[in-house]
Parts: sequence; structure tokens; C-alpha cells
Amino acid sequence: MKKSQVIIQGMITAVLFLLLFLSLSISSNKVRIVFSILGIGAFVLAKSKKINIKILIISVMIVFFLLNGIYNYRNMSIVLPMEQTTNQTLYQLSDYENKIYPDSFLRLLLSEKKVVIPYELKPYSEYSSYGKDDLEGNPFSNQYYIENNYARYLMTFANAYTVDEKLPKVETVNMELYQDDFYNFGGTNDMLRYSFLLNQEGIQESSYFWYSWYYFTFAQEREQYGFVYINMDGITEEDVVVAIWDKNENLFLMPMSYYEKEVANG
Amino acid sequence: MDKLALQSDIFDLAKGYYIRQVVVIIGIFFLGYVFLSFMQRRNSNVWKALLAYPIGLSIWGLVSYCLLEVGIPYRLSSIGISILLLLIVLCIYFVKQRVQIEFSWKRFCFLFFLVAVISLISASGILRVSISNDSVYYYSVFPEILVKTGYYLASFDVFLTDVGQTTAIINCIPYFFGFNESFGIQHFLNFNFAGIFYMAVYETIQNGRDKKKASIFAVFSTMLLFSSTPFLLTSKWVLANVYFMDFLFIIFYLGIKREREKGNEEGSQDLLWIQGILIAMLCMMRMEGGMMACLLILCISYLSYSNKELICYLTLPVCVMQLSYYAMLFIRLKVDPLYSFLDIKKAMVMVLLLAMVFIYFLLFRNKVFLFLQKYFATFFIGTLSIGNLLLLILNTDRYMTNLSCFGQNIILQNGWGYFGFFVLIMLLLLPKSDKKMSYSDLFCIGYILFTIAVCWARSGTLRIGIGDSGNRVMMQIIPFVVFTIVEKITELIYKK
Repeated sequence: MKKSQVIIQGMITAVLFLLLFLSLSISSNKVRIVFSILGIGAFVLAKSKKINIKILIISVMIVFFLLNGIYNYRNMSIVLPMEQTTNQTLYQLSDYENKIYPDSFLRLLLSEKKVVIPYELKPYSEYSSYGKDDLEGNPFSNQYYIENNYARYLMTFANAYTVDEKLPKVETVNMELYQDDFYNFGGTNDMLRYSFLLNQEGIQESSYFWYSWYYFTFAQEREQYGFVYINMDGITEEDVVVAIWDKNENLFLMPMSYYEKEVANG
Repeated sequence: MDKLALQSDIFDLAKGYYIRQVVVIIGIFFLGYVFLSFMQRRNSNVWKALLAYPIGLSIWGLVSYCLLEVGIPYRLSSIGISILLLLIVLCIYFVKQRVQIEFSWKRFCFLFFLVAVISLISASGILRVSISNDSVYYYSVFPEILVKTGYYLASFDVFLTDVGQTTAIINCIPYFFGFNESFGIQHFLNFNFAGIFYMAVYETIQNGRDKKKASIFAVFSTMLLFSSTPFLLTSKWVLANVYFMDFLFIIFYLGIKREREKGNEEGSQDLLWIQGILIAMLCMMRMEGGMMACLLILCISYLSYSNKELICYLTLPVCVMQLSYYAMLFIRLKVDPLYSFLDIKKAMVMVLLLAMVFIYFLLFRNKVFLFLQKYFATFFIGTLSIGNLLLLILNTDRYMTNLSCFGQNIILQNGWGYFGFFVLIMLLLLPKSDKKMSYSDLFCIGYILFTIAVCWARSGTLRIGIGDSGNRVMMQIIPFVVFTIVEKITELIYKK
């Protein structure tokens, strides 16, 4: 081997040692002890030629394999939460417990159902702020979003939909009386983000912009984001689901039979 | 609400999903298998079976992508007709060329049984997965919206600039076939990848030597890879990284395989076709996919590919995919989100990079500056290092913060387990070779330098934590590192 190659290889070894030393110096105590012994010990053994290098390397690989097993068994679920998904759905029971991704459940629930909503989509031009974007600084009509966000979302993800004008509208919805019959599946912040994705009106330069404005400006002024409440009593067996929402963007879903029996008759 | 009651409701809603997913996985496998049966002449049946699933996914992905690009309604009928037409055209083309398709009922039944069993396990849900916000919105809601609308729309804005499109298209499959998630599809790919990695190591070790020893060491290496924390996490996380990592490795290894089979002209031609299809799929699997594809192509040029092969089979598919996407995005749909990963400037950089790669193969490689090409590896790594140095000078804070985040994520086990220490120890132990740098070495070093550079170009700095996308991209390197180490050990063991 040439002298220059020996120097380069020596330098590489020194850099590797330095990296190992730096890594060990900022790692936890246990890791530091284990890998100091393993690394430095193996290197010394290799250099002293007391053990065949091939056997040494394969031994290090076996030790690493075993250490991996212990590490993964003890830590993997802590590093990254894992789920066993035997229910064949994206929505997991832990999501219900954590009140996250209510839309995953909604999409699952509505994929084979017909949903009845109180509004057909209304174009932006029917709202008072239309055409005043530049004049008033704030181009947005809050009412436009409150009335249309869920309608747009449900129309997209339900198997079918119909509009029933007799259903209570945003201003009149008050479900406090029935609160005990409904389960809270979590906040709708991210879910509503996808109603923006479905907005094809092109009234602003991008849907992400609407989303940012909606949730970083408009929603800040409210006490809380909306939630998804579902009445689960027999909902999986029924083909038709009623959806209504209030001015705080709380969405209520219920089987048609429940709506007719309880809510419609007030 | 009572958990059991909710569980029972979910089971009610998901009736039939399991078996549908199993049938779809088997369908994708045999779609790829039929396709490969038409085009493969000399490659072994084992490789035909191993590549069938990635090729099946690619056919689905590329056909879907073309429909969406052109604006043909993205429906099951249009996909079915397109795939059928493609198969007919291929059948005519390859059969005309001479191929006698071998068919054996015995082999078919065995393969069907094996695929069915693995898909039953994959889709059963007993293998755990990790679901994060991006899994739900980028790779479930967005695909479902694509299926529902049937077109790319300008209102999808950031979902067109931040999401890997061919991965999103793979995740459209559940919504076309009436189930709800793609965990089984992903796990099947993981099983498939275990087979591919095993064969890659086996062929590397065996190469005319003891088959039994090679087999044992290949099993052990595959177990080592699948026990490595970063690999395990990437393969279980429902994101684009797992698809990207697996496809990147397959294309990378097929380069080595082709090099070994120099005498087998027909087989080698088949591998080129396969690489071309896979790289077209790969370059749209993540937003930085085009850049990574360029890196891989440049590394492959280190092997004995002709310029024509590099241009026609590797660079051209990437150019077509990337340029057509930019045209659709910025010219047809005029998408211009305020905050996004892909913007017009980055698209121009990508176009420039592709043009440079193209021109290099067309005018320079093996033609002029031959002395530079003699030391291609040194020149390549040197160029990447200088590039990194320039980025460091341009914005020292961002570069150093990113570098520190990469380092701390690896050492503090943010998804890396003990892998960083293992690599350092192995590098210390393995004798330094005085031979020229290997293709695998070149790719690993290039990948690290390139990833650091690409992450610099992202707006904002990286952060410490497993979820950081830069960290996830770096974690994709694991199969390459394990393979390179195996190569070095093989070299050491069989050194004369």
C-alpha cells in the first residue's frame, strides 16, 4: 500500500473515532457504556489480532441484532405510537379516546349512506362581501364558510345526499337538549381544512390561503373550534343519516329515525 | 361511549374490507406478473415473482398518473381499459420480438398459494402500523378526494405541491375497490422487499461460491435489516417513505444485477425496461423524488451502462414525469400556493438539473474530459461536497442547524435506535479497501450529501424529532448501508 493511502486511511480512522467519541458523549449513560465497551473493545481486539477479524465482525453484527431486539421491544411504541388495525379501518379506537381524526370515522360511516343536509351549496356571489375584497380589506364572509363548509364535505364523502329545506338552519340549531344522546368524536379543525380543498370557486388565490385565514384569524376570535357529535343509536343499520350544524360549527349526525322522533318533533 | 360498542359498530361498517384488500393485493401481484411474463426473456422465475408486485403497483400508478395528467376522468373503467390496452400493446410488441411465454400450472398454483397467504397476513391487521396526521390527510383524504372528483383540480393546491403523487395514487386503491385503508398493500410490499433484499445479498455473496453459506448469511442480513429500528419504523409508518425507500433500493440493486449479467444481453435489456418503469414511478413518489432519481442515475452511470441506455431508459422517464407534472401544475392548472414545498423556482432548478444530466450523457460522458471520468467517484463526491460547502457559506446558520439536527436525531435515537453506533463501529472494524470506490459506497455517500443539500433548500430548518421529514428521508438510507456493509464483509471473507 502506498504511503499516501496509509495516511488517508489513518485519517479516516481518526475521524471515525472522533465521531464515535462525540456520539457517545451526548448519548444517554446506558448507551454510552454499552457502545463504548462494544466499539472500543472490538477495535482493540481487531488491532491486537487476538481474534479473527471475520469472527469479530460477525459477532458484532449478532450483538447488534440482539440489542435491536431489546431496543425495539422496549422503545419502539414510545418513539412512534403503533396500532394493531384488525378492524380494517383507518379510524382506530385510540382516535376516539384521543378525540382526533373524527373525519376518518365520518368518511367510513358515510361511505355507504345517504346524508340529508339543510343547504344546497350557495355560491360566494350570493354573499354580501362578494366583490368587496379590495375595498374592505377582509374579503371573507364568515357566514359563507359556516354555511357551506360541512355541506361541501358531506356532499363529497357520503355515498349520496339530498337537501331537506325543513331541517333547522345554522342560526336556529340548538342541540343542548339532546347533548346526552350524542358522542363527541373530536374537533373538526383539520377536517374543515379539506372542505377548503373541495372549494372550486376560485374566489381567492388558493385554498390553503383560505384555510390559513380561516383558522389563524377568524377561528381565533371564537372560543373553540367545532366538534363532531354523533348519535350512534342504530346508525350503522340505517341507510339515511341527518346532518345539521350550528353557528359554532358543531356538526351533529344522527339516524333519520332519531331525527324524526326526537329533534323534528322538538 | 363504550369502547366495545364502538368497536362493534366499526366492524359492522367494515364488513368485507379484509377480503377485498386481499383480493386486490393478489390482483396487483398478478398484474405485474403477467406484464413481466410478456417482457422477460432470460431473467429467473424467482426475480419475476419478486418484481411482480412493485411492477404491478407501478402499472397502476403510471396509468392512473397519465389519466390524471391528461385530464381523462379517473375512474375504474378508464384505468381498466388503459391497463388492458397497455397489456395488448406490450403483448404484441414483445411477442413479435420472439418471446415464448412459459406457463406452468404447478408454478402458478404454488405462487398463487404463497401470495394469498402473505396477503392474508399483510391485510389482517395483526402487524402494527403507525398513523400520523400526514397518513390521514395526505395519503387517505387526498386520495379519496381524487377518486371522488376524478381530476386534478387547482383547488387541491398544496396537495399538489407537497404530496408524492404516485404514492397518493397507490392510496387511491382502497377507495376504488371499496375498502378503507392501504396497510395490507404496504405490508405486502414489506414482505416482498424482504425477499428482494435476501436475493440481493444472496447473489452478492454467492457469485459462484457456497450456496448454503450464502443463503444463511443472506437470511441473517435480511433479519439484521428488518430488526434495525429506522428501517422497521419506516416500513410501518403509513407515509410515502416506505414505498420510496423500497423502489429506490430495487432500482439501485438492479444496476448491480445487470452488471453481473453482462453476457446475457436479453436479460440485461429486460432489467433496463424494469428500471425505467420503476424510476418513472419513483420520481413522483415524494416531492424530492426527481432529485433523488437524478442522483441514482448519476451513480448508475458509474457502472458500465451506455449513454443511450442511461438516456432512454432512465433519464427520459424522469424527464417525462417531472416536466409533464410541472406543465400541468403551473401552466394548465396555474397552481400557486402561498406556502408550499414545490414552487416555480424549485421546479426550474429541477428542470436545470435534468437538463444537465441529459447533456452530460449526450455530449460528455465517455467522449470528452476522459481524465475526469476516470476518477468519476472522486469528482462526483467532490462536486457534492463543494456544493454543500457553498450552501454552508450561503446560509451558515441553516446549514449548521440542519447538520446538528441530523446528527442529534441519529445519536439520540429519534427513530434510529442504535443504528448510528453500529455503522460507526463497523466502519472502524472493516479494513479500508485500497481498491476504487464501489458503486454502493458512492451511492451511500452521495445520498447523505445530497439529502443534506436538499433539506437546506427547504424553507426553514430541520428539527429534532422523529417526525421531521429530513430525518425520515435520511432513514431511507438503511437498506443501502446494510447492503454496503454486507458487500464489504463478503469482500473480506472471500479475499484471496
